[in-house]
Amino acid sequence: MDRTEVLLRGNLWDECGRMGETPDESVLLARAQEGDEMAYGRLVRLHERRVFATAVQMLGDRGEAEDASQETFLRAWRALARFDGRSKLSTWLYRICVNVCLNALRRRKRVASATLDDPRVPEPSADPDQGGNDPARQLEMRQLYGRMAKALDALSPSLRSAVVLVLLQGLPHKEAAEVLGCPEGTVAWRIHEARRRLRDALADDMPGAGREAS
Amino acid sequence: MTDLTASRKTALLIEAQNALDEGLEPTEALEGLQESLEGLSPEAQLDIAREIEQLGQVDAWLRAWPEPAAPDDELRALSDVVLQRLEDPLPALSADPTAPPVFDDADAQPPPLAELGPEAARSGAYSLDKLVAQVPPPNLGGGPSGPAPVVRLGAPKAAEEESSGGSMVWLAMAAAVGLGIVGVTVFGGTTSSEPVAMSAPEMQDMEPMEQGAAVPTGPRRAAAATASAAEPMAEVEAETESAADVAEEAPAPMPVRAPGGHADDLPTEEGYTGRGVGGAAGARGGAESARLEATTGSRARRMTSVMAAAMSSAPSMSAPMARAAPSELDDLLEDQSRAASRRTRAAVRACLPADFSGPLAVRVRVLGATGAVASVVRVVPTVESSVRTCIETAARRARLPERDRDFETTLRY
Repeated sequence: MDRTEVLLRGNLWDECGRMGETPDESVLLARAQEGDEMAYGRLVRLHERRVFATAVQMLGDRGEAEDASQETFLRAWRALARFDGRSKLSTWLYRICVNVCLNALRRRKRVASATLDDPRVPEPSADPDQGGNDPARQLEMRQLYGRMAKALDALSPSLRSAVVLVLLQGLPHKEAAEVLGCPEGTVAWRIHEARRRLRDALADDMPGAGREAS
Repeated sequence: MTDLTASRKTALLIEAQNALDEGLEPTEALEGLQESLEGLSPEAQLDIAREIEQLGQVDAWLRAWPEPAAPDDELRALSDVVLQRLEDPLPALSADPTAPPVFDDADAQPPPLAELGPEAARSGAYSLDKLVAQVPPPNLGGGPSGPAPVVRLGAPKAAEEESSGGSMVWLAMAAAVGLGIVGVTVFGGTTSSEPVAMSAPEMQDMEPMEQGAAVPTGPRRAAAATASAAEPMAEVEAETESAADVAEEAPAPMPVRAPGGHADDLPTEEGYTGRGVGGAAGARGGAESARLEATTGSRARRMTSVMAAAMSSAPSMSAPMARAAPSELDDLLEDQSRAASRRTRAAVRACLPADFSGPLAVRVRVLGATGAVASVVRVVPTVESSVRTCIETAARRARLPERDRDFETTLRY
């Protein structure tokens, strides 16, 4: 029994989790594809932060994002046998997450309106450097993020997906193109168009603009 | 002096933003455009510079936007719930969630080349990229086990013509090459004896990529939008061509190295393939750009970029980095760390006091399984705790190659 086997099957499972050891993802994936729920649980733990963040950024609602994250991993579990490893697992999960979020957006009846309660607007305590100890500056930063969230929500789903993947999640164009199933040139164009619209929406926040002066 | 048309401006701004996406500062992105800006009026150049500055500001805000808070206990609860619900029934979907997303909005595709006009064609990289962009990528490995989904259309004949006309894409590819060659002799300002990355016949020897996932375009896409707007996750049906099968035939991404270039010029897991004037060494601006320019000539470099884009649009089914030989990973790690630093530079530098101008080194611990930054080990020089917290948040956005175990590396800013 090799070390990975010990980590997966042995009594060290919980202990290794406590120690922060992680078996190779490919091993976990192979085990999960054989139906090993514990291995899949480890994979979920590895990827849930980025999936959840993507869902929050796409949907702007914590509850909906939690549901979308769950659905992403449940649908991934059902399709796992078909994942052949030609892309990264994270890329594949991003794609499922985007699809699930798009579906949620289509079904959504209300029009979302970002406020300071928006989960994308950081709490002052969560990011103390966004304004340091200056309450006025903190409020200003939160208001800026609120306007950014609103501007993001105003983008069409194709542009919003590109912004979330490339600019917020930090994916290279190439990987975003894989997620979105389009050429890199299309991703570049969407990013260009999205930035341009966000720039227009945030024109008052630009250095030298009216809001800055006030 | 020439006027700056809207299409030319769009092309230049896209090049600049590609450079921003590589982690460069707006000034560096502008520097990468210097060659393209020559000949424009000072007003036009100022207009471009102002736009790039503003777009760079938006970019900096977005990249510094803290990730939504997700406490560990909430995340653990999420994974626990997922494990408890593995066998729960899920609502049926009309489309495979592992298939490429179907967008039903008007922004999903760039305007067709015809709308860009002759100015765009002369602008070089954008028009070439546009042509290459018409080559649809194959599906991800985990896509539907069956054929690629295609939106049901009211006009099957037109759809047939388009899907059977993979040759249209070949024409586009050939046209891309043709434009490049013409560019060498007519627009590129270089001589025909200068090196061209790949000729049309050579390109045609490549494995076909035109048969990838059937992405509706033009009128077909409009019909698709109508169809998918009527119902969440558009109704799909099987098509005869399996994108997954085709993907197996597609060539693996090839290293494209410009003469005189170094490892930085390789297309990597980070997706660096170069995108014309603003991409490749052009995006890096400065001395490296000049060096590359001296050895190749701009049109040849664009051709290399086009080929790289073409290769990478047949993505990227490359094995995870974890499968590469350790020595190769060691060689790549430094470059990957530099790339990660570039991408997070704006966010990290935004954390620093305005009067801080020196170099900053951030030692990070990276999760081998995902390539994600797990924690910051140390920051040199020492900064106060609130700044360090900010830096840690920003550095967590960095992505590094996956390895078979956790590792540490230094990100330099």
